[in-house]
Amino acid sequence: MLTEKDKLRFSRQIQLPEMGENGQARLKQARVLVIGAGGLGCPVLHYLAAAGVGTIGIVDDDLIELSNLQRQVLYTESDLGKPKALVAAERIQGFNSGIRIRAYAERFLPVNAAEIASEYEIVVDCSDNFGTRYLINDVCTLLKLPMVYGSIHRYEGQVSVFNFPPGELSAVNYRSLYPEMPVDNSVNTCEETGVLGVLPGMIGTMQAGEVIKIITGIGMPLSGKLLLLNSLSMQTNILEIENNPDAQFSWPQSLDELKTRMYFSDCHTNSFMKEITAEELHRFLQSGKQYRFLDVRQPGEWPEADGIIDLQIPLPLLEKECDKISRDVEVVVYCKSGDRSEKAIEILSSKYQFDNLVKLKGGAEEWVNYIESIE
Amino acid sequence: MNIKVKLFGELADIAGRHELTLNDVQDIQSLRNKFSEAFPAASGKQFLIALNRKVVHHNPALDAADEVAFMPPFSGG
Repeated sequence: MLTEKDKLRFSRQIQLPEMGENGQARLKQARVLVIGAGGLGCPVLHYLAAAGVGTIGIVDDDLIELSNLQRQVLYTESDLGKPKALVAAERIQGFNSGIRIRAYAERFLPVNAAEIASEYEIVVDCSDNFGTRYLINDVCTLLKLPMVYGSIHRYEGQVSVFNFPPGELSAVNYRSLYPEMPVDNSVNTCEETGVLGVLPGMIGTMQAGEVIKIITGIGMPLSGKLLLLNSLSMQTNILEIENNPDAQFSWPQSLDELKTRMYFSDCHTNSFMKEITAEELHRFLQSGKQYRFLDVRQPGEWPEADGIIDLQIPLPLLEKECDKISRDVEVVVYCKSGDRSEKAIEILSSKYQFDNLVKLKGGAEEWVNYIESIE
Repeated sequence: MNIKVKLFGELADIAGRHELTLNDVQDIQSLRNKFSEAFPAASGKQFLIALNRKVVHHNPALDAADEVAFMPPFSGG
């Protein structure tokens, strides 16, 4: 319960009638995980610590760089080269010595996601890439944890609250907005497009506000709503989000399945190859998703893959003719059963930097079998 | 029918503006097609569509007074 010192320290928010000592006690008992201690994470961490959130986890595997200081306001010049999670933890402990802080100076990955997240009641998504965002979304959805989402692009930002109230069927998540993870590099990052330092400050502060509202039960969190802010025009739009029936099969159905999903591509080591099953491909085509197709078999090989016939380049000619292959849209690569398509993707991604290729699992045979099975 | 579309994020970068009008449009699908024709760089980009500030997942017919927004995902943080 609250000490006399707590009551003095937090007196300005305790005196708000909706908050009171009960609200402050709830903050003290709350456990919040912040993933990403960058532009969004810094203001979120600062305000949650200042408001008296009792337990805060910080996940980030990055080191502090000079180009971060323009917007990542917890860090100073003497912190350059140090791990963000550890410095952020030390800094916010300095703001408030009465709270518990746990730093995870590691990457949030499918193998550790559920173990870390299940220690907390609310997760704040302050990540800066799609792989982490979709992973956070999926693990929060499976664990029924409210997720406070924020993201930015140049002068614009998005904020929402997902999986809230937890466990309710009507609760939406990130995949209700964007069911499938965009192909890497199809959307630019801060490093490529630039960002005005105050924007993550504005969006992160809104995220911290949503966390405090969820914990204390005051006001109306942005559940089922997506807030858009344009910091140049200062226009805000709030869109209503409904459950997307197509999205329900897009996240893993169990924590075991989550561990097997590929969230991160790594072109440099080529250790990752994106795969799609015939059933998934058929479903995505039905829902209107656009693909190009690449058949790497010899002309005349069976079976004919009706419905996905597009470009054909036999594997031996691949390098000579690879400029015919689209780099803009996801390209599904297939052969008879899958071996040659795998080889083709290895060559194209390692030697020609393609990052939009997906292997059709089981190849044309599997596709034809599946189409026959549903007809 | 002419429909006004609000653009956000990368789609506004590609189109070079935050609002545009597309002509000869009947429903969401035809609006989408017109947009891809006008801006080939946007084809293959994933975005959500809001009709009168509600996110839609189907293909409703449009009315000239409708307000449509195209919203791509943002990755930054």
